[in-house]
Amino acid sequence: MAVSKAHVARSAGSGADYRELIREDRIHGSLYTSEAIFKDEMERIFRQGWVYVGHESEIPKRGDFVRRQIAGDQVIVVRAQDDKINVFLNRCAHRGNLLCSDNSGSARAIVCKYHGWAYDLEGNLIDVPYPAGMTCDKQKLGLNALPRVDSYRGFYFASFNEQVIPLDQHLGKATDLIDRACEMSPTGKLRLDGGWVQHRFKSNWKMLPENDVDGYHVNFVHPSFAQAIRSNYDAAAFKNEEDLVSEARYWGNGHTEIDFSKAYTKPLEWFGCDESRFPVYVAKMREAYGVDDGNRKLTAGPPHACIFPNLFLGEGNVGMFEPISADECIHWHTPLLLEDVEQGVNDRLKRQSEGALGPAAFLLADDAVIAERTQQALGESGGWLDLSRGIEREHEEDGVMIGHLTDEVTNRGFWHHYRRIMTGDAEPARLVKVA
Amino acid sequence: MTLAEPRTVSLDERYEIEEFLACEARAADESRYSDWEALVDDDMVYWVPTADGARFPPGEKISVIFDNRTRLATRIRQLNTGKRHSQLPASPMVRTQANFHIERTGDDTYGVRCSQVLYEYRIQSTREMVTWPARVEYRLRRHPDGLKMYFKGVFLVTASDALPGLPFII
Repeated sequence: MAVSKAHVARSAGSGADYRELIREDRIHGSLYTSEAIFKDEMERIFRQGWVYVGHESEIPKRGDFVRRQIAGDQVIVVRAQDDKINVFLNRCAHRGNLLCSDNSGSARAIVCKYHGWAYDLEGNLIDVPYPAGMTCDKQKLGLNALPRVDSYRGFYFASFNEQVIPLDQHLGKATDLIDRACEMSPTGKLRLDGGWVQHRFKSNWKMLPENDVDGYHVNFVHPSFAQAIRSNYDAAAFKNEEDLVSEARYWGNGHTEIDFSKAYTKPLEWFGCDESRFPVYVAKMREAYGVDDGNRKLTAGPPHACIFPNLFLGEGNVGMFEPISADECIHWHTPLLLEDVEQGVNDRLKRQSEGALGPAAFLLADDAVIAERTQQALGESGGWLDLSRGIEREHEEDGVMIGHLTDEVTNRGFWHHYRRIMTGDAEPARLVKVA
Repeated sequence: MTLAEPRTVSLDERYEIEEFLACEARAADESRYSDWEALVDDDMVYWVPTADGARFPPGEKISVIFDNRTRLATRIRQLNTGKRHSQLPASPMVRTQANFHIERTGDDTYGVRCSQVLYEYRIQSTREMVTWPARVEYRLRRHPDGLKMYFKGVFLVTASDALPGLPFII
């Protein structure tokens, strides 16, 4: 049974004129500071659209679950019978108590700690204490499930909107980016069990997907990194404008990338080493994909891309963007651990993950402060923000818009998709009551 | 030498160790990075785990910070560039440590457990006070020229939550 969420603000409830606020080459600062716009976004983007909720390897066995938050609602992502993955509101159908308080775990049934109502992994109410007083139909008191859950190569997405477009249509060509991440493993499979670190930004959530694929800031926000650390980014990002061969790319539907691969000439250069460091890994990759393709994958390395709206494929990391309010969000990350590789490869991925992302990292700690300063500077009046860089020199190849690493191809793409979503006429989000 | 039973320390040793930790705290509070680094031994491990990660051996899961000596040198080098935006200007900080439990763990080594509360003013960004309560564990080694630390683990009370920037020495 579908239940309408009457308390949720209807689409574009703020009355904001998104066509006016988002132009071809600029956007208005209120898009980062208005709580009313934030509410619109939670409804239009995070409830009516697809959001990333978790990876199959986080919940490998039946009953395994992780807790996540979507648009202010707590959800449980749980593996049920026949490897089906369900996403439920983390809220008892009886009196609304939080069902799972652990961030992750394993359960044979979901039991509420308030009055002991018990649900199976399909969300059906299977037991209530003192049943004699329970005269209503238990069948009608199942958990609220998100009506749409789908996956691509182990990455699970969910939507509150039963009428949402198919996931493959939302991902579009960007499945190539997910393929590229998965195919860093000789089996094509990832193992995202290295743990999560959460980094709190006092900034609007959109600054995360924008900055994570902004190739222009690197020399200015990260000079301390460039000076203190020799890395693969010396060739890929810290260069003069005319010497940079890395590219900014817009893949459609809000999906964006900065591609460093053209700067890499040898296997594992992206990993800050050469192939002699991990001969078993290199041999397995060549065996799995053939010498030429294997070498290509080992040289190009994992993608650096954002899948709209909340998934970050950050080279050796997988990240999630969690909006909290107009001026607060959380950047999550876990290392992109690979199946069937020698331990040293995954250990190095973990250490690089700590180096790059998180509150103490050599890179993201500085990005966070820049985002927080931007949030402060926007203040109440906001004003216009320029997005025009490279608009004259971008070009399209096979449906992907490509520009110089430092050009705002990515952010223009993000915002134009955002405008389409925010001005669209999709149905309001609905939940499905498990029957 | 590894002892079967931890041994208590003399009052002189206790005084010396508390003095060492006060110097360490002050160097960190005042963002004197190289002075702080001078207190670190060659096999140093500097660890700030997440709450989940703290249930595993260091390095098994990703941490907020998991520095070996080389990585720690990089951290100090980056701070010393004077171009690290997240500490420009450096956060004014004050920390207090208390409840020291000190034991001898070998002929020339000591283990210290204590509680720590750090007040950090985020002057470079949000201009908010952040409180960082933690349990801290040290391992110290005596050298001819004094004590050095070869392990510092900071177990944050808030380690299960999203954390604001932590680019300074905690």
